[in-house]
Amino acid sequence: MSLNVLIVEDDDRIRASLRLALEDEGYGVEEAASAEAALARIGSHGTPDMMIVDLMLGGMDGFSCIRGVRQSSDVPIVVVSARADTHDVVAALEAGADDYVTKPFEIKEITARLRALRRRAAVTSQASAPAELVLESDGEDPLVLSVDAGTVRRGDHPVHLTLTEFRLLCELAGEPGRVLSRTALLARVWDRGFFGDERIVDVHVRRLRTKIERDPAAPSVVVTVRGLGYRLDVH
Amino acid sequence: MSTDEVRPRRLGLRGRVMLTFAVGAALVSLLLAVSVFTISRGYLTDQRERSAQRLAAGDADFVTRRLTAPGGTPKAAVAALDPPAGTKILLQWSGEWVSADDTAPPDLPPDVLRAEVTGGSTGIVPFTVRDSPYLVTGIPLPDGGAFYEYAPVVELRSTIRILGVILAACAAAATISAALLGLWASRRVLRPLDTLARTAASIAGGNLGSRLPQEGDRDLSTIVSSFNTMVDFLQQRIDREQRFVGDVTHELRTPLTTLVTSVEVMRKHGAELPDRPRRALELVHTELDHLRRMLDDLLALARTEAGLHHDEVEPLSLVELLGHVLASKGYASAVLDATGDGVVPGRKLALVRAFTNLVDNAERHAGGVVRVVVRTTEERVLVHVDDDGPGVPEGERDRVFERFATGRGGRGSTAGTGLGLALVAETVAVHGGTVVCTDAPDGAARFTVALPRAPHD
Repeated sequence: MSLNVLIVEDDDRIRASLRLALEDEGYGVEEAASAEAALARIGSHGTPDMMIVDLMLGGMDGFSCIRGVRQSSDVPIVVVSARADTHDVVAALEAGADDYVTKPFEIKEITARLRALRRRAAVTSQASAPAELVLESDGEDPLVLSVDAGTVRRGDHPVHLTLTEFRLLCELAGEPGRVLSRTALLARVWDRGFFGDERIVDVHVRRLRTKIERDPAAPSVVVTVRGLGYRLDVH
Repeated sequence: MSTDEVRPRRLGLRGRVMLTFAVGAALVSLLLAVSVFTISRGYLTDQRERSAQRLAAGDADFVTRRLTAPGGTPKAAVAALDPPAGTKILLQWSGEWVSADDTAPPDLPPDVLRAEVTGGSTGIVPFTVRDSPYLVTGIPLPDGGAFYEYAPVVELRSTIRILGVILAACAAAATISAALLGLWASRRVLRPLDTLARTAASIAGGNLGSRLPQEGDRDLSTIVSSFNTMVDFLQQRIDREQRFVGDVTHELRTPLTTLVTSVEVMRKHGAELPDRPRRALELVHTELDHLRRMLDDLLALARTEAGLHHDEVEPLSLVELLGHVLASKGYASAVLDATGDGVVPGRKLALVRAFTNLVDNAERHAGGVVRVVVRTTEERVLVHVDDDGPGVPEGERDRVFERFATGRGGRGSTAGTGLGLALVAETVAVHGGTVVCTDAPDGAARFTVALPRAPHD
């Protein structure tokens, strides 16, 4: 079954060429010329399997579009950024994007990113990991990760994570107490090598902390090891 | 440079203000001291002469009366006088010299005075007897006699000397104080200039947000506001230029994205195309790739020029980084010869691009990289990238780091963008390091990057 990709891009020609290229790669392609159109499309037809969002859109911008989508969905989102500004990419990731490419990209970059996201989604749906892992048991509401169910609970309340956040947590929880370098996490979660942008990891860790930590400003579950990477502490 | 050597070095503004103060004070105090000294000396000497004369006149009167009295001898007349301490009396009477002190021969008065007295008039002259200064008053007596009184003026002389010393000391003190005052005043006056210099240096160092503080001083407000206006203008221009570069690259990136994507679709279906259009498509693809790399390099260059943000900088191992760069280019790990940790503070992606460019350059012009040496010293990390070519002629070694230095000749499918080494130089420079092109031991080219080492224990 072919995967459905929704392209949110206000430039007709880029959209048209992307459609041609992605259809060649076997994806089902839908198009939206604006953030508003994309949100309306999701509202009426449900979430696609993946999204490619340009940050520079007329009207509502790409950041707002991502935030809008994230309110109801954890669909993998690849951002297309024209500006190489550090801040743009970080802001998009903070809004909820999973990964990014910069213009002008080669189509193989986009498909590589989409494949990595798909691989991630597939792994999380496999039932191979330990059933349940209690990450934080002190205090009233324990934090519980169910790898096979693909869920995280704080006490009785489900914690809603995007697929990438969940996958990142699983990688860290796979080796509790051991430091994983940002390069290693980049490779395992995003399928990017040494030359990847480590800010992707940093922003995702930040996002993850705001959702699972009692005090995101003083994290106790996912801790930073300066100069080395991140470590998950079970306690 | 040469004019500096020929001409004596001019004093700085501060030195000149100080010198002006000092010279002015020296002139004024010297003039004052000299006039005070001259007037005081004249007055004191005059006083002393008059009192000596008065005393001598009285004494001469007394002696005359005694001599003219019955039974009066010159000896008795002189002995009857009671002169102040140190004052000596000498009487000439009937061709004889009579003095109160018989133990030594009398010290005769100077000839000038004797001539004057013989002529019948009273005179007074300074005279030194056996190293002691005196004022000698000569008064003619009746019957061809003469009365001489030697008044000592040692005290007067020493008073005048002390006065002179005190006045000289005062003049010197005034000069020195004026110099210090000048130094203080010039510092105070020049303080805004120092602030200006510091602010200008800070702006030159890339801190465009710096402005001069607007102080209440009317004399300075004009220069302060002109300076600030100039910097505002400069910042606006730079902002405008950066926006322009951003806009242009964005406008270029969008059509380039469509082109790249569409050409890839065409190439994927290349087998369906006849031979001639397929060959044309390959040309389009090659040039498009070149254009894309050029835009990438231009953007990277613009971004590097904007400087490093400190939050992007992290400790990086150049050994690890070079290992990945060489591996991605298909080199065996034996090419890398590293000692030490080679950790530098830097931006990973920028340094990856810089070293990748060095490797690309070696492959494009010199048969590839044969050796990469990493050496860690106390302060720096050195990276030598040696290639397999004939080396770079001496005269070209600086020029290779200029933009578009590769020229137009010999452009093949793997042609460089002409920006690669310029980007290396910029990147290394913003990391606080240097890059030079020299000879490798075997005569090939060696590019040496030196970066400051990360703080370590």
